[in-house]
Amino acid sequence: MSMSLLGIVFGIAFFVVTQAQTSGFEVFFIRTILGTNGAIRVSDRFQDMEGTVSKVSQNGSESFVFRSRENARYVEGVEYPQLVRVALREFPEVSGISEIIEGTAILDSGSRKHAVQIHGLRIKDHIMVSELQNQLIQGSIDSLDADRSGVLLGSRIADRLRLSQGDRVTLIGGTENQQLRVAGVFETGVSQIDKSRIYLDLSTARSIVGKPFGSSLFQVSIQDPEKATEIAAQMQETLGYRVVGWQEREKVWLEVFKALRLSSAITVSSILLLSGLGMFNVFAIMVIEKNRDIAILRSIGFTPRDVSAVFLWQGGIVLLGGIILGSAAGCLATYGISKIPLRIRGIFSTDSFVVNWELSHYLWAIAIATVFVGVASWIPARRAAKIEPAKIIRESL
Amino acid sequence: MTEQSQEDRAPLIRAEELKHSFMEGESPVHALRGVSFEAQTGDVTAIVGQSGCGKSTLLYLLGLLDRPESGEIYLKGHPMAKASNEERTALRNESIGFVFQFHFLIKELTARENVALPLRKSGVGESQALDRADDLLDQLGLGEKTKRFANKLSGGEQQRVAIARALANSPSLLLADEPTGNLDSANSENVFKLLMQFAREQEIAILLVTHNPDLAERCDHCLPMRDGLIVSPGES
Ligand SMILES: Nc1ncnc2c1ncn2[C@@H]1O[C@H](COP(=O)(O)OP(=O)(O)O)[C@@H](O)[C@H]1O
Ligand SMILES: [Mg+2]
Repeated sequence: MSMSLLGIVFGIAFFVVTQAQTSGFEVFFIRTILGTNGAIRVSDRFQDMEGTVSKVSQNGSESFVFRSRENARYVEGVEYPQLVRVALREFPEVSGISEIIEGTAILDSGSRKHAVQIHGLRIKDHIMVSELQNQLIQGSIDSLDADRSGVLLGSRIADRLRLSQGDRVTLIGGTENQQLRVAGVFETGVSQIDKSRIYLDLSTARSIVGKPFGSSLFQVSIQDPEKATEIAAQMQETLGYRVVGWQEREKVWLEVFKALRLSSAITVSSILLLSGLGMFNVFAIMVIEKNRDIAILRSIGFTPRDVSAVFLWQGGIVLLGGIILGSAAGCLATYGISKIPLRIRGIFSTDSFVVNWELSHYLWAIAIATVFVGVASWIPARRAAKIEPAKIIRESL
Repeated sequence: MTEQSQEDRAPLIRAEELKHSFMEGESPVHALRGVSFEAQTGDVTAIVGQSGCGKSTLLYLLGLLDRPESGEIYLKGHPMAKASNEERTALRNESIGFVFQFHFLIKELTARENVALPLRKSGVGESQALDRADDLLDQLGLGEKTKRFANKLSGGEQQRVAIARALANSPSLLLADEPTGNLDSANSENVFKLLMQFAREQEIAILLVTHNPDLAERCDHCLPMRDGLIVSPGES
């Protein structure tokens, strides 16, 4: 029985710890991508204009009409940013709108060259839709805002070209070159971004990319990022532009995390299953060993229910002990693990294990343990209740 | 006899044409072939007969541990054969006490805890039940050993604990299946005397299966059995 208790304690603790980790990394990843590429992105106008005006008024109340966009073709970029911006402001959930011009260029430090992705934007707008302010490891938002020829470099570009704040660089575009000054360095933790992206002023970017009108996309933040999918769908219908929420954009990674979380839950549940099996075994043997005692109790007036209660009680006590000790152990282990140094760069950046404290992990662990222990004690308890006292007494004489 | 005493002598338990059989492989073994008798409160009735004649089977039917194939059992005038399991279980607790040849104590419990079991089941509080257990064990000469574990007692002592447990709820019927069969003559005598004493003092009807003709002789009645039948019900 003590083995079963130990198994339940371990099972619950492991369950909690693994869930805290996998969901911790998942939450951290979501925070990173929301802080970098935002909740919603508006890009590429639909070519067919059918159904783009879908906000209809009926009896004075406004509603949205949704149409399938499966076979739609796109025109790249946002042609009339002013109109889109006005339309986006109509959505009450929107908390920030940043207009972005994208393009590619070569960054030349004088001694080395590096291909970069240009993100031209209005920095004051962009900090409303991202965590850029917190991602800065050198320089400041204000220094970029004050200087039209300022540029923020991804950390790995800065490393590669050995650049730091204040250094002069040349940006070689398709149409013209620009002399720029490094206003700061940022690190998102997403290595693909850190080694290719640079932020600079919208109008500076326009002239380098050679795109005097229009823009590439809008990055939009909303009050409740969980609602991004449905709000994006509404925006898409209203604007006639392709609008994608972060859940769809990062679908692949989110599914990887989900699979990871689920598979670790299943793996760890097997510890609980094994302790349940062990417990079942102990109880099943106990019913056979104690059948004389059970027959005595029945002969002096204890009911089948009284007899099964003995087993259910024992199971319940082991379960309760397992839950209390297991949750405590899981809690401690989660705390301990969050202090373990671990350097991760790639899809996010962290220097220690990331954990997520979530009551539901404990509740799930408890629920799974309860089911296994419940079955493990209920079946033998039922068998014990069915023992016929006369038969046992007759046989043991 | 006056009318009053006749009413007093109404049977506590009455068996009517009890039949019972077991399947042994394909063929049935007729353990009881139609047993009828009655017993009054305060009487000690011996059931004697060769091994295999159906004595234990009869006792289990009367003790509501098993149901007869046919026939009826009246306990205090109420038919029992088809009573619900709940009713029969409750009656086992309140009105019937069992003593078996092998003492059937729960060895993880002390003497007093064993004796207190039927009381606890019938809803008596723990300390009260243990007090009553101590009391009974004292009457049975085990006052010193109430806190011993059951398996730390001698055979005769264990059997006395079993009797105390059977008597704990003041039953009106005590069924004893060879209670002295496993004891030496001194202990047998002791246990038998105690049973007689309780039958007299507490108005309990006792049915006693025994192989000891000497003890059977000293009972109020004797039911000799052979092949599942009572051969000549008579008084000793
Ligand atoms: N469970 C059983 N299965 C088959 N036959 C049984 C069973 N129990 C008792 N019997 C048979 O029933 C008959 C009566 O048994 P029992 O009442 O135990 O006799 P006694 O107690 O007088 O020795 C015997 O022939 C015995 O073999
Ligand atoms: Mg027998």
